[in-house]
Amino acid sequence: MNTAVEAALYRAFRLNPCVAVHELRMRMRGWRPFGVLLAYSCVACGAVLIALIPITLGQRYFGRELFQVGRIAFATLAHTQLTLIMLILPAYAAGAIALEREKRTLEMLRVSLVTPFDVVTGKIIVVLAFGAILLVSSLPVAAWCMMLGGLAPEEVFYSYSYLMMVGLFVSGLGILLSSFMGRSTGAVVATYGILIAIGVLSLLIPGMLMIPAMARGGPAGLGPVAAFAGTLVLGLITGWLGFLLLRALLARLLRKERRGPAALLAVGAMLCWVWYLMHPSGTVFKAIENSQVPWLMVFNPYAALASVMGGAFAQMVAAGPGMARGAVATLIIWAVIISIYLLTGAALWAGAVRVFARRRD
Amino acid sequence: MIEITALTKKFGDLVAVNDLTFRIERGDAFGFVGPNGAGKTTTIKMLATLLPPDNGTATVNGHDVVKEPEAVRACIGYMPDFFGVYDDMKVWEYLDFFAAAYRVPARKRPQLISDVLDLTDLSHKRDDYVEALSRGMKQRLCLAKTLVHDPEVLLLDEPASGLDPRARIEIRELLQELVKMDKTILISSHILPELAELCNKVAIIEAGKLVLAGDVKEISSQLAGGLRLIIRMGNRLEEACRLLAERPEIASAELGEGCIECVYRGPEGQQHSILTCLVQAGFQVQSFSEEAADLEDLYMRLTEGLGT
Repeated sequence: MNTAVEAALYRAFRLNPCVAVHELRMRMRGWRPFGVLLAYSCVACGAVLIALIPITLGQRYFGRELFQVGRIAFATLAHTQLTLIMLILPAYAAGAIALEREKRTLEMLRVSLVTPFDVVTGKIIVVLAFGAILLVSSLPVAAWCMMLGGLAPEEVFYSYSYLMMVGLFVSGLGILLSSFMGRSTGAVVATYGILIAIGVLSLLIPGMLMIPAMARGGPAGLGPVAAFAGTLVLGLITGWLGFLLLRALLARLLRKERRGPAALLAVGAMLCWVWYLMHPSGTVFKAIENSQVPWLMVFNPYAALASVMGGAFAQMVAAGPGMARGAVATLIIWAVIISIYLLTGAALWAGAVRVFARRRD
Repeated sequence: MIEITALTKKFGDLVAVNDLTFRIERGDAFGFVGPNGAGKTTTIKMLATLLPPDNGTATVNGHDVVKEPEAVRACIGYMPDFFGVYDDMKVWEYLDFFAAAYRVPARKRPQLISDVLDLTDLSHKRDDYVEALSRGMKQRLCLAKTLVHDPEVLLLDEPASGLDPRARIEIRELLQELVKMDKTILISSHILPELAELCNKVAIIEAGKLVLAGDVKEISSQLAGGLRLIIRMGNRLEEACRLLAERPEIASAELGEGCIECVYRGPEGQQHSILTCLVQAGFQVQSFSEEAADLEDLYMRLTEGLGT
């Protein structure tokens, strides 16, 4: 890489790009990446063609009109891509660091001047770059779907940006487990295990919560138990982060001998915050208690994809009290979902840097 | 250059390194000797900032390995005992990667890579894939990687282990070249004859504890009760042996195979007086030399009775 580019990256992000360059050289060499790319494109095209078979036979497609053909084809393409991204990228990410540990190349890297941030970021960038190449390779198929009609350009944008964020999320998860675990096989299995668990639980929990509401015949509100659990989780996460920030701030401001009381003060402030969140008459508690159960399904990657594409699920979510309708609703849902995956992916990435820095092997 | 004080490392109940203290000066070739599991690798890893010590301090070039790890890493070249290589990577790319990892500017790297490849005699393998190299070549490549940022201190953990005799000799010659380049080298090995030819100082470690550290010649001389001299002459060996035995600075004189082996205990640097004496007495001296320290013998004598 050019000296000026290297220097600029270092100045801007404190990033030594050598790990990324090295990973790119290794990952993109030989027949394997092109084999994966070819297989990816073939599967994506094949899925779209299979989806179009009923239409070519002159039948109505699951009760939909022919003007929606492009939309149906693109939905198939997007869901197939989601599956492929969730199958391919975790394997790439989960092996990235654990494999180096296994092959005993990591030790020499640790003794050099590259930082944990350089290593983790370099590896995740390359996994994401490969994910981006896979997605870009399917753009001609997406263009073909648009030509068939019934598909708006913003839907394509929403879907592809969402797929990229899912890529970030699964890569972040994979790289975190790769930093944490000693063996690449263990890291890969754990990554897929967690992804499957997320997929199953994100459907199972809302489903179970919906049963009592449906039995009552009323709107499927989350109810007090879900509100209690939700505010507890929210309180613990925000409280812990707030405590760390407040303690760091107070430690900077106060003299050394007062840091003990400062930590106590931070704990007290954060406990007040958690109590406020969890108070049954509090705004947050009430908001979660009254909100619609289907919202929880956004944690399911497939349901979330259906939402960003403005499908029936999005309409159901948007049908809640006080919600916007139509294009605005889809935009809001897209923004929320993208933010969830982006923030989670970034948090996993940061966690991987921290875990890598702490491990000594 | 390297200073270790009361360095201790435990793994659970096992004390891998116990209260280790020694010092290595600039330009020293320091042999770190001990059996497997003695604590050599653990000590080197602590110096390389890979393991935090439980107790004691270690500094490299004045930088504390715990407090200033980055400064330490910048001035050391570390070669582990076992190392892997990347697949699908050419020799020059491997070196370029590590040069970049040590923040060597991109414009300087091509020349630097050529230089280290020349030094390690791998120039003809520049465009070959790393995994296709022989074990000896991989070892030399790892050494080339260690030198790519021109470190002042080299920490070499068993650099010749598992190599065939030819590759071992090549590595030894390469290390001798580095000694001439005034690098400070800490080299661990249990192949003692190799260290004897390379090192001017040695530390013997056994079960995590330092048995002895210092100048090879001095230690050898102390253990032998003086400096061992080998004098070769064509005839009158017995007569010369008697003459030498009578001199006060000679502790003992024995007949060897076509030579006299004696232990000199006189003032340092005055060994030539023995030669002068023999020449003046009319003996035809063919050679007069100090016996190279036999590290193997030294090691066996020092560790006699110590369990591992």
